[in-house]
Amino acid sequence: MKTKIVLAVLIALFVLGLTFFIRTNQSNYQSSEQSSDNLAGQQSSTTVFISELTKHNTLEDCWIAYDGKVYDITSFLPRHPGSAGAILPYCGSATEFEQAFVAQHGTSKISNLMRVGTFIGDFDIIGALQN
Amino acid sequence: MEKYAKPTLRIAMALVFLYFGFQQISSPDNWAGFVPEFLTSSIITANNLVILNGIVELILGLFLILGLYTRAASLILALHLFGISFSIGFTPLGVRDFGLSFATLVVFLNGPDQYTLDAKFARKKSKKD
Repeated sequence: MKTKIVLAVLIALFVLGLTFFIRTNQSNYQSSEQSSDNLAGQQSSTTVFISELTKHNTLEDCWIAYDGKVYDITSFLPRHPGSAGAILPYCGSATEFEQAFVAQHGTSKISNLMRVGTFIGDFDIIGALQN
Repeated sequence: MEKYAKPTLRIAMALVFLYFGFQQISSPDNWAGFVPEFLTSSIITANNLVILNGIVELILGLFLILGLYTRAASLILALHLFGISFSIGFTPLGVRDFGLSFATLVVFLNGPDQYTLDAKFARKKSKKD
């Protein structure tokens, strides 16, 4: 009985140690990436026009715009609980996606969207309207 | 062949939980979207919950693959997966997880097979007695 408990505790400690190791290494990697990204951000920021956004409208390449920001959500599509097909019609869109997203999820899951998507740049709606 | 049925199911289910547990601790961002909103707060973020969930799945997955506290580990994992499948809803992912949770429940119902540490300790104990 004692041996079982000791073994269980050792396994738990091993998993906690592994988690700590992985998370520490990842945060070190991410902070070094962020410092180089910050430098890049000071030099230039990407602006995405509607003509560019609409090109990315497939299952293999899906961009959406929400609240003036463009996100690449391609890698998230297979993992979407409501299936990739629910999002596919809105790939490459801004207003349509926003309306559908809010209608389905409200505004409470916006932070989730920003977590699962890769930020591409700012969406230039004004430039598109002028053109 | 029948004697391999129970350990095969136990090990297969353990590998599933070990895989997803590892994925959650290494890439919590990819799974944060699945966390129900009511579980999160300003202190307990979705990412933290995913990492915690991953730790639990890894620990119980290791228990399962070694056959340590087999019944307890399999029951907790089965109930956990039931909860996840209901949270996801009637979608392909939800149905898949529903099926997997029943498979894990079968491991609980089977109990420890002869290749588990539980069985080994039980044999040792009966020899001593």
